[in-house]
Amino acid sequence: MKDNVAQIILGLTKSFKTMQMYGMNHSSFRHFFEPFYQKTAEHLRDHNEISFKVEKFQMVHDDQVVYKEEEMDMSIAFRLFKDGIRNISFMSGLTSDELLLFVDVISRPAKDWDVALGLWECNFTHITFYVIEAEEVPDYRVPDVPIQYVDYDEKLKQLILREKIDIDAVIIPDLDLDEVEDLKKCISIEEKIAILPVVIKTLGDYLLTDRSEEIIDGLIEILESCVNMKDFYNARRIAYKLKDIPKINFIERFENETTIASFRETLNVPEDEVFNEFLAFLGFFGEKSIPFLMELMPFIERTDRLNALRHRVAHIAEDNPSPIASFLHSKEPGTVLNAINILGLIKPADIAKMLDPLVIHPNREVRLAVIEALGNAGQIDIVIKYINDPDVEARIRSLRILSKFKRPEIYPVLLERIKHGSFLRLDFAEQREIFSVLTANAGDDFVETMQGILFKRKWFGKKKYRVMRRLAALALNQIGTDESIAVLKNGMQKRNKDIKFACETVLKERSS
Amino acid sequence: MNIYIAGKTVVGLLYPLFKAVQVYDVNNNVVINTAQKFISGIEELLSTFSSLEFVRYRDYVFFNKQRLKYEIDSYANLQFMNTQLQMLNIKSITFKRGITQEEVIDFASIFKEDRITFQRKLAEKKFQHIDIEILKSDKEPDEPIENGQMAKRTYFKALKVTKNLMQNLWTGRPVDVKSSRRVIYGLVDSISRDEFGILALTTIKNFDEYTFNHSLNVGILSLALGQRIGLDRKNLARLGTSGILHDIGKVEISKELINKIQKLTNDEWETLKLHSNYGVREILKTRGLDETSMFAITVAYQHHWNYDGTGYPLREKEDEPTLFSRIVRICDSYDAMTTARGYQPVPYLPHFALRVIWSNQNRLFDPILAKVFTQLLGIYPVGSCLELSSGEIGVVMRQNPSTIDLPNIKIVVDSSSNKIDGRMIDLAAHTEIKIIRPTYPQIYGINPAAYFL
Repeated sequence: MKDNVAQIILGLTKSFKTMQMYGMNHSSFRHFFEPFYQKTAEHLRDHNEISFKVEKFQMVHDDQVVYKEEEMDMSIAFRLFKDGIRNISFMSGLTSDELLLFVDVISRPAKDWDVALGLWECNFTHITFYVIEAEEVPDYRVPDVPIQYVDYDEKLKQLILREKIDIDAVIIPDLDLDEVEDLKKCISIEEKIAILPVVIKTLGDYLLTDRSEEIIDGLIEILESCVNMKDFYNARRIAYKLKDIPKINFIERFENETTIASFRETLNVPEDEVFNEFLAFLGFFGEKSIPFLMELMPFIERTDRLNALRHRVAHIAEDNPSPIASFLHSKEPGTVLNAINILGLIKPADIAKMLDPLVIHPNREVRLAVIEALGNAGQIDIVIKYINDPDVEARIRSLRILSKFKRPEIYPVLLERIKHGSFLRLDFAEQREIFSVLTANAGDDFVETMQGILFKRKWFGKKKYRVMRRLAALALNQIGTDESIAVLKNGMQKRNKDIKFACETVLKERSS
Repeated sequence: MNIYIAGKTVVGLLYPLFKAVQVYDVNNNVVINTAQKFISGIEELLSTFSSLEFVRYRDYVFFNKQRLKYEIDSYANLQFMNTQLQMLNIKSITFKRGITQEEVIDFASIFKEDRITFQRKLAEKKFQHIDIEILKSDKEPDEPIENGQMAKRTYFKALKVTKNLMQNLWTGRPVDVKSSRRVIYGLVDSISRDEFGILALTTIKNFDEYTFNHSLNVGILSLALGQRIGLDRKNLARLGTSGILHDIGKVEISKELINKIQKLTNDEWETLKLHSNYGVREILKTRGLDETSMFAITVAYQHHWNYDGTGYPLREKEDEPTLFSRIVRICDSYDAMTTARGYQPVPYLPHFALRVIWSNQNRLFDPILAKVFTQLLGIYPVGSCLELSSGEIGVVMRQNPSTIDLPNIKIVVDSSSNKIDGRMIDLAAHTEIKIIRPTYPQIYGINPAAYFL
């Protein structure tokens, strides 16, 4: 036993010294600490507890001095003693982490460091210690009580009258099982739920009656800590309470690159609720944050979340979209795409001007985004340019958009397109979209022209004409006037199988 | 498993075993099954601990040197064990590795005997793996001086720190937060070592320095109640801080108003009520926003919220006071009622104050906490003066956890009304002495606090 204790003390001394010199991650510390823990745990398995009485410069175990060091800075005993620790015990079940923390706490630089407080705040389970306050009990004398007659019965009467109590009620303070369970539940709620929401509510309620500087600062401090902890639920609640207080820009402190970059970890969290709280909190951000939020976007993995963030940024940039426009010149196509998309949501009046330089952008996705954005904004002057884009998808999308608008001047342009031999080389989908746009912008001769295509094999050779008849029939159906329907019905009577089939098919679709 | 949980586990295994042998024959299956359960439970613990030792000291039971606290979920088990140990005059019981079923049943069966038979049978049995030590005399060993001394040192240090804190706030000087943190942990330690020791010091009431004493007393009472319901140390530290700081908002209210003896006008009353709001501001000013201060802020704001939704500051319907606020609400009321102040020169007797709390459960106070508070303080709380059937007057020195209406008292006035430094009596052990009624210490010129210093 004696040897064991000596080895434990030796382990403690060496761990203490190496911790002071090198810190807990250094191999020298580990070299001494690990055997120290092993020895202590081994001892505790057999003895349950090892306890040391702490004196000024020495520690005593079983009435024997097992440690002595009179050099104040180097003395473990003195460090403990000076802060009032008079006994220290390690109990069976001691973990390596607890012992490590213990060595850490007692090794910290002594100036202003209260070892007892440090140990208390560790909440050890298997290390106990006994602290005394250094000060002696003052020579306190309770005040003398002069003899004074008090009429017990009268007092009792007053008490019953004032407090309306039944003085003879039987008191049985035993709790039944349900009450014990209730109480346990309360305790577990108190221990587990964050106090934060309650404090936010308290400070918020206080603000309703008094906009005291301390309260505002307190809320801002909590806000900062919420943002640091990525607790956007509470951050949003605080921001909501602060938003109407004049002359306070509580959000400015977060509108910087470092803070916003730190939000990256929230972008792909599994819980949608967390992400949505984050988005809601961003609602309080201003223009300054836009560049940093734009930089966040490439890190989002889910498209729906990217779109949601774009919406949020669009909301922020609503009044002044120019910070977004500056990203149109980015070399990163992803960033350009985000900027186009956001502008499409904001729909600024000069969006066409902003996006015009991108019409011939080499990146197909960018061109598609421009079409979408302009389409959303109803700015189709540029969209028209895309009907000759080298990419089929771009052409189709632009046509789809154009089909929603009335621009009669494109009717002759498209008509010429149809007449051109190259039209037959296009995909059916594109051909169909061109006919749709044509229908949408139909001129006076539309039905007549379509009838010509349907019945008379205008413009092209016999072989390709089945497709053209089908497209014309679709267009006639789409425009849906009495005249056009009459043409289709007439077509159904034709002997030509292609005409008959094209007309029958669209009319059947129509009736269904 | 930590020692504390292990201790509670063993007590939890012993209780049904003792109960079983009281009802059934030792060969009955119920007894055998309970004994088996006990053995398998303690064998597991004995793989971690070399032995399992229970020691009874004063009214406390210690397990492997750690005091087992009276908590709501283990109250009945521990109370039973404590009573049995006391009744049989046992100082300690130690279970060792290798214990057998036969030994366990033998051991439990002699426990139901009276003291004399128990000791005779114990001498006959000679257990191999159970050591039972009998107290040499009925008198328990004296309390080590440092325990009582410790409580006093902690109390007065805490009082000094509380006073400094408030005075510094009053005068706008910086506050020493580190000292307050240290003091709180000292109080938590003191409470977990011996709650009755430090609870007794809450009888110190100072008319001139009411706010300081009251704040500290509320902190201590809250800690004791918090410990009784089973809060861990971390939460006790938060609760203690919240208790001490609950009235800190009063530093923003004029002393004249606080100490006013005459009835307050409506305006004055409205001003005084603002101390709950001001408390929030003062705590923020003093401590900033660490986790503990968040609890303290909440308590300072809510400590006048009643259980039924009334109280101040005004609140929304769905706002409920937190557990800590409900604890402080009770302790604050109790200490205020039992302290003399300008408008209340003769305070309520502790017994009456407790009755007021009991009668107002569900309305002003959380009913479950009101019950636990009554369990904690007993029917006649520490510091109460009692008229006895012997014609003497006694001051309640500490509770008997097992019999809350029969405390330990000290005789301070003899039957001829002379003040004396009389004997200590455990009323649970001396049933021939009856309590007639609580009485006012002023009648005898007694300050009960004097007996705890």
